Amino acid sequence: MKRAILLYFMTVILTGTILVYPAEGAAQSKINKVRAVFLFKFFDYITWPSGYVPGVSGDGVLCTLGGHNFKDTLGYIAARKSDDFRYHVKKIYDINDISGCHILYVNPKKYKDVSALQSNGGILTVGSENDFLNLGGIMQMKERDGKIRLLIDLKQARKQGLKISSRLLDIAEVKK
Amino acid sequence: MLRIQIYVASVAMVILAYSSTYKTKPHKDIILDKLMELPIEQLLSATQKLEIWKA
Repeated sequence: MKRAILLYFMTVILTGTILVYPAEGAAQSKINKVRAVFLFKFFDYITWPSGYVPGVSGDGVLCTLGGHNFKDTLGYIAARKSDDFRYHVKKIYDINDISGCHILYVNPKKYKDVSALQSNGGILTVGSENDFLNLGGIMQMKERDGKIRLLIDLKQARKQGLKISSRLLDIAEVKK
Repeated sequence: MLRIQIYVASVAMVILAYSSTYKTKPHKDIILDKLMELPIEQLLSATQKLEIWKA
């Protein structure tokens, strides 16, 4: 009898895992695809300080700090978006290896490292989770009800010498 | 018998987790291509568009 009960619960758990896990994974995958596209769109709506301008001082470089869930998506978009102007994706594990990066997507475990960035470095820092802006980040791609909301800290953007286009500011929630 | 069932269930869960983490790279991702063409304003609600495209 005990075995039968145990078997019953195991079957329920296993079935639940099979049914729920792919559905949640698929939803998260969609959000991450949209986030990945946003990351490359930002190149078109940000003005970098002289000496750091993508296309003038080298190709556009999107860096990721501390791992991410985008899988092959970033490389795919970089390849598709590149024409005369080329984009690259670079994975870094230390904030001190940031040289050459224009946009830095930060893993939540590395949020505290963002405060170590020097001023006027021309780095657009982007995160997805809460507290990113409070810890010195510039832009958050927040998920709510299956949609992305953009939150921008203008003060931190100015500190990095970045200018954000009004078109991007219009669709974002701006922290001044 | 129960041990075998536990073993099979464990293997099934590992395979499931692995397969959803490491999918083969597609040559062409139509969804991503469409997302890239969207104006930035429409990207905000793009997850709903994905449902329409899939349908």
